[in-house]
Amino acid sequence: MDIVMIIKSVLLLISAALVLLAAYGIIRFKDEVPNVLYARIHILGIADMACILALLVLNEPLLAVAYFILAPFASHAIANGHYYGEEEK
Amino acid sequence: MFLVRIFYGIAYFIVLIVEIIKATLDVALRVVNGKIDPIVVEIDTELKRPVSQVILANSITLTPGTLSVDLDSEKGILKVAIITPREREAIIPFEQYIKGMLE
Repeated sequence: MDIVMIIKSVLLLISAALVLLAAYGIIRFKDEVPNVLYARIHILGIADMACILALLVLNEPLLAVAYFILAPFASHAIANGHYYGEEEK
Repeated sequence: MFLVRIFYGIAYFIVLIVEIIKATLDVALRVVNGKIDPIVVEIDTELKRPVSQVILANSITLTPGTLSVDLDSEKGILKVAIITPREREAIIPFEQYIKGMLE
């Protein structure tokens, strides 16, 4: 049990706690809150960051960099579609 | 100067990482205590080149709590969805680093 192993375990535990917190936040805020879709995308950003941390700890730096660059595109596409779709209604 | 640009790039990356960690803790705290008020605001940017505007929008989306919705490249106006109302400097603290890096 060396010190690197302990640090890796603590970082993995932190990312697991962040993923749990993101899941709790998704089901916590109901549809009565205005603009709740943006709030849900913000909360899913926590899960993205936890995923990048876990990939870095698990010795997959290339996957972490690809995720770091590609993760904003999906949330931007969802937000853009929702914004202009709501405007047409 | 090429070296100055590299220095600004490293500084931008460090500032981005620090902002991401701060924003992640902030949004996690807001999930627990439930104080959210998501709105869409318009902010103007000083950046002129499309490449730096895209990097700015990508950095905004990468930070939890702020999310870029649309970008008007000619007028330099970004539509940003934020989780709680805050001023412009708190949304884009890395703008001058991108300006030094790419413009």
